[in-house]
Amino acid sequence: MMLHRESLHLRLIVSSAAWIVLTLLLTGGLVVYLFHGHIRDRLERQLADHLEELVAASEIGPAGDLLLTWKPADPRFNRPHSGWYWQISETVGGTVLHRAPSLLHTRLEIVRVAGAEGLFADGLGPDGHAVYAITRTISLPRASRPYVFLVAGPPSDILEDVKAFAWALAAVLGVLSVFLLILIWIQVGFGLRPFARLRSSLVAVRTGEKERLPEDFPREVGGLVSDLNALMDYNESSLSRARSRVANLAHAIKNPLAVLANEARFIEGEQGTRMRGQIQSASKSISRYLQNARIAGTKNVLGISSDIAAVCRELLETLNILYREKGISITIVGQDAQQVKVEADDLVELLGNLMDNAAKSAVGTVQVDIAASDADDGMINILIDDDGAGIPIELRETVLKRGYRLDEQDSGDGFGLSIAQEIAELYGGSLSLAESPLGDLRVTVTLPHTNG
Amino acid sequence: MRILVVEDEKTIAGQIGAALSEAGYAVDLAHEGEEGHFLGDTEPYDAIILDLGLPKKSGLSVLEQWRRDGHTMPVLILSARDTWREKVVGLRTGADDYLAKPFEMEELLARLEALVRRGTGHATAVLTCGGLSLDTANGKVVLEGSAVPLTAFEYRLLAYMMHNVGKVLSKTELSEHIYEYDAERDSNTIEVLINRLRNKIGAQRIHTHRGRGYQLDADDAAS
Repeated sequence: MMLHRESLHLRLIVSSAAWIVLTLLLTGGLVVYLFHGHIRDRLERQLADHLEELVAASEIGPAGDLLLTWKPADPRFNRPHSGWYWQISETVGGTVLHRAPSLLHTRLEIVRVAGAEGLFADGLGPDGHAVYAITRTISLPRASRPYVFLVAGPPSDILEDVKAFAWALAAVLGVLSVFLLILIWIQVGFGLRPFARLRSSLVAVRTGEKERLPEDFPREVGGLVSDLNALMDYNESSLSRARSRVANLAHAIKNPLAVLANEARFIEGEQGTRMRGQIQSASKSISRYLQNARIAGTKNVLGISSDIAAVCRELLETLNILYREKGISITIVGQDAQQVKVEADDLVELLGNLMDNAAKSAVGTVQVDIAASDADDGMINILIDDDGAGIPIELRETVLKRGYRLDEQDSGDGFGLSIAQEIAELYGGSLSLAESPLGDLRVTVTLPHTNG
Repeated sequence: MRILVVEDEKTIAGQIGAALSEAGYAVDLAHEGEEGHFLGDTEPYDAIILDLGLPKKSGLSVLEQWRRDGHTMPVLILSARDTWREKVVGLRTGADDYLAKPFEMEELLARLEALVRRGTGHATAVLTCGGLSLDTANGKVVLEGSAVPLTAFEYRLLAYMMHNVGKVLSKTELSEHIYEYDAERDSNTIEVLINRLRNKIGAQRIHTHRGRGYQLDADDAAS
């Protein structure tokens, strides 16, 4: 699994679950092992008690043979093949002198002796079933030789007890692990909440809802947050520094040009005409290149987002003042509150140029249509239509051709179109021309939508 | 018609002033924001040309303050700043037009003339009053088909009266709109100018309302 690419949440939960399951399995195994040992100890003690009882009941008769004064009272020794047996023999494997009724006429065989004599041993019962046994060789008073005493019990008792215990333990540990996983899920959610908040704050910044990330994050995230904010501040301030340098340059060049242009009005003849022409061409080039230099083009930068409808409304208000005399009606239709990933001043410049062009050539109507965003490609179309005279589209399209130098452009709407196109393309959008249903030109601008 | 030009570049201000005077306007110049604000606040201008990058007080804050104080005179912003953002801000602050530098003087005059006309509620460049017409675009005055030669002050006086046909205009108001700020204002000169105008366009067109002022009346003139 590509866990490192999955969410932190999943990583923490999966890793916690792994160690919980492992720990509980080990714990369970250990507890069962200890329990098994404990049960065996208890059986061993029981068998030892029976053996001692057997020894106590034994005595040497007058003829020197071994007699039992009483037999162990436990009814399990009387039930045939009950699994509980005892026997007294001359030697290990020798003649059996006395045996438990449960053995009927068979005998117990010792298969393996674990450690010293008298300790636990594995035996084989009359029906071939394994038994636990203890055996002890004892010399009775007045006896001419030692006798081997043997008592055995069934291992199945132990196994059943251990099995039942293991099942109960598994159930308890299972419930415990579910409980722990739920707690871990809650704990991870709680611990990672600042990250969830950081994510939603980033979305808010990206969609323009907030300008900066809030600073009240825990220490571990706080550094990152303030670095991000500082980066946004830096972007903004370097953009505004660059723009103010352009503005200063504009001021420094345009004022003398204005003076020259005004003086040149009074120079007569060919000299005056030439001078005015040169000043005009210099003015145009300067205006265009300065306008060009002001474009931020901050594509894919965090915190860059603008509301199309709000910008359109501002421009509408402005154009209504500028074109008040002309009496045209400018309307904005379509989606409200759509955000695009374009720096605000760039968007104003882009739409300002296009709407101004449309207002300039319109006879009565300009329409700006903000189409719904296309979820598939993440772009929004803005359609700007006017009902003006209808300059052939081919003529207008020449200004949009690549490699067409700014200062080659004639006055009119050419420059507005090409600067608008440049801005749109810097942000990964595009600009296209078509015939408008209103009669003149339809400019379609496509811009990237701000998605959270 | 009296115009205020607030422009810190003295050469440009001088050029605009000269062109406006030539076009028949009374012109006051201010070279920084505070002085500009004071003049616009206290003098009854028919229109103002305002630069944005001014020393002491920015053009935008001057404009904002005028509008806040309830001054409604038309304001044309003339600025080296030509981005749409600046146009939007300038016009939303209360400007009536926006012209970027470098500019054509003819364009500035045409736009200013339109602003002045709009300020007094006239839709066309040619103001008429009975058989009398005044073309604000070229400063020509025509009476019953023939041109009337006027001196600069006679033109200013007639232009102001033509913009305000039917209204009774006091001598103070008339002198405020045809003289520059630092000009010697003698109420007798208004009487002299009125008499000279009456001689040129017909005495019956200008009524005297004793103690109140003068009135250019369209209906009487037509009769």
